[in-house]
Amino acid sequence: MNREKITGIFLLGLGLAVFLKSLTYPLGTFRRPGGGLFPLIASVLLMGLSALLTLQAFREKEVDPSSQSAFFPEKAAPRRILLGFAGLLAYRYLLPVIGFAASTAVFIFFLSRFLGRYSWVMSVVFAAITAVVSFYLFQVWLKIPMPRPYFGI
Amino acid sequence: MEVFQNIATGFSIAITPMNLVLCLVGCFVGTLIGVLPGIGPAATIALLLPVTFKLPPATAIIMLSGIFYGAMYGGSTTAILVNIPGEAASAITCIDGYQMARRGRAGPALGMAAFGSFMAGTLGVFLLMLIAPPVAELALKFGPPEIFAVMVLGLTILSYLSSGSLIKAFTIAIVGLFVGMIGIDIAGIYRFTFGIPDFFDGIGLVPVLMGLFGVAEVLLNLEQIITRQVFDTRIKGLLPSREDWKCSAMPILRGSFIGFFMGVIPGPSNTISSFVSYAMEKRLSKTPERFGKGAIEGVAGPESANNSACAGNFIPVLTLGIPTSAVMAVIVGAFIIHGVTPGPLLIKNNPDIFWGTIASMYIGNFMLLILNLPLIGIWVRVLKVPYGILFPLILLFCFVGAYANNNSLAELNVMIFFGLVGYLMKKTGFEPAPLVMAYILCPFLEEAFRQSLIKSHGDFSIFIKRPISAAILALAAGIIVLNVFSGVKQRRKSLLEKI
Repeated sequence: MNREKITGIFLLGLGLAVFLKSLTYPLGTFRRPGGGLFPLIASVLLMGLSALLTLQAFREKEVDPSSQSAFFPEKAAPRRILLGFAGLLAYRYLLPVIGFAASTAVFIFFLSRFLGRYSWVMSVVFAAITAVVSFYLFQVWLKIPMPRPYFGI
Repeated sequence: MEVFQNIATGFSIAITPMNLVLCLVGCFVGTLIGVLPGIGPAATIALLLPVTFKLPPATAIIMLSGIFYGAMYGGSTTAILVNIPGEAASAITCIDGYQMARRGRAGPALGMAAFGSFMAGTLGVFLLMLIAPPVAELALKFGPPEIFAVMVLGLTILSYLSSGSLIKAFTIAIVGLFVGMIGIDIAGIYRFTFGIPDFFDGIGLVPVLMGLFGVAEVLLNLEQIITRQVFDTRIKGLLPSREDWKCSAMPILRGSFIGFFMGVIPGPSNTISSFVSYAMEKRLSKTPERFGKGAIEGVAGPESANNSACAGNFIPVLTLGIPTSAVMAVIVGAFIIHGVTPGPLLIKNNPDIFWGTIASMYIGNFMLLILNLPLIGIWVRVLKVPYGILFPLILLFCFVGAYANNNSLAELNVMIFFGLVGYLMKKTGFEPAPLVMAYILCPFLEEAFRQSLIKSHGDFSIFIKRPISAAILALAAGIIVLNVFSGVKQRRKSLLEKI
């Protein structure tokens, strides 16, 4: 199974899912089109196009060069990508718990220590400065109402 | 002439102290985020939108548009000195701009980029000033079928111009339509919301943009440990020589027209028009072998094109009320927040906003010329910030921007989700641009489609019975049909490879 085939089949599945879901909305008539008509037409188009993509992938006549290269350019890549995502998710879920300033500090520290490869001291200083500046910039000056933390500042 | 009278009024609005200062602020912020890779104008405008709430509408639009065209100036600095595009629209400038810098001609490259941007920006605004009012008059005659046809044509051209497989471009555009359908439809039906209240109003544009462009881009960069090398010589002689001017005059002029007219087409026309301008200059050149080795035409043409495309971008918004790029979608949001409906009646009903903004663009382009030539040193220093410091800040910025859009944590989930989607799309050869455009246009497209059918009592032939919509749809069909023939297919491929 190469990437092209998986993509094609996935999109075919997506088209089918939207098709089935839009049948549950009022289709109306062509005279008075309902909410389901437009998604229905779009999903039929998507199924057609992704079937074409899948077919192409199985015949492997016209392979897109972008999918020829290795999925990850180097061995450490998957780990770094996972760390990046973990950082984002952690930030998102820490935000309502410990507040904007504290979670920003944790987030920046995590990224610069483990992905930016800065020393512990550098990362702590960078995180502290960023947290303070962004707290005053966004929460105090721009008055963005950040979620109220359960505890913390 | 009525135009001159109107523009005089516009200038009287634009030169009030507050408007001048906020125009400068917009241009400064625009240049800054243009220099910094990974932060785009759409995201910045969205983040600064709340700041403008208390300002009068004309002032708000003046500042926000300054960010947009300012970013085009800043992007070239990074492209020339670091060989990475500060904005997507400057990607092509890297080729010859960086080569010029390596040959000790960073000064003229930066100078020509700024002068070209200034001239093209001014010419673009001039064209916008002349063309928008009559087009708005014409657009008043457009019914739903014509509007539907214009959008279909736009999406077709965009898919045709995006790199990679055409089928993939169309496929991802339809996926974009699905994203746009989430929420309550015009008849009040909840669609694809999965019962999540945050989705009832639809998926927010800003989190989608931050995810697809910001987060996905950073993740791609994170795969490798990057070390960036800022070109470290003293930049001297920003003024291009007489020889340079001779080479660049025509590319700037051609780039301005290409940019402006491509700017009208939906999609990231700043980027696409700069590519087209580069390809054109290379083809027209008597010495095409110089391209890629530091030809100044390869900087002057594309940098002009991406600036005048900014002006072209405003045409569909100001005349039809349809945003044709992500930046314009955010600006439409700004109009609506300030109680102004963009569309064919805008020029008549809110002449102060229209003419004030146009006049401010002339002033803003001049400010940018000064910001980017005598003050180039500031931006070079900004560039020396290493990526290890920059990427956490870019992610932080995306995070706050996505959250501040609606002050909702659900938007953050959307952003992270689209970050993953954007990353996987890059890996499987799908371009994000058709998805975003289809998503932005979806509500307009569906409304026009449904109203057309109601108007014709369910007769689909309404789209081909009315001459204007028939002609536009025929053009779109022609593009698709032509591509089936292998000859044209090969030509498209070679065109896209060349640029």
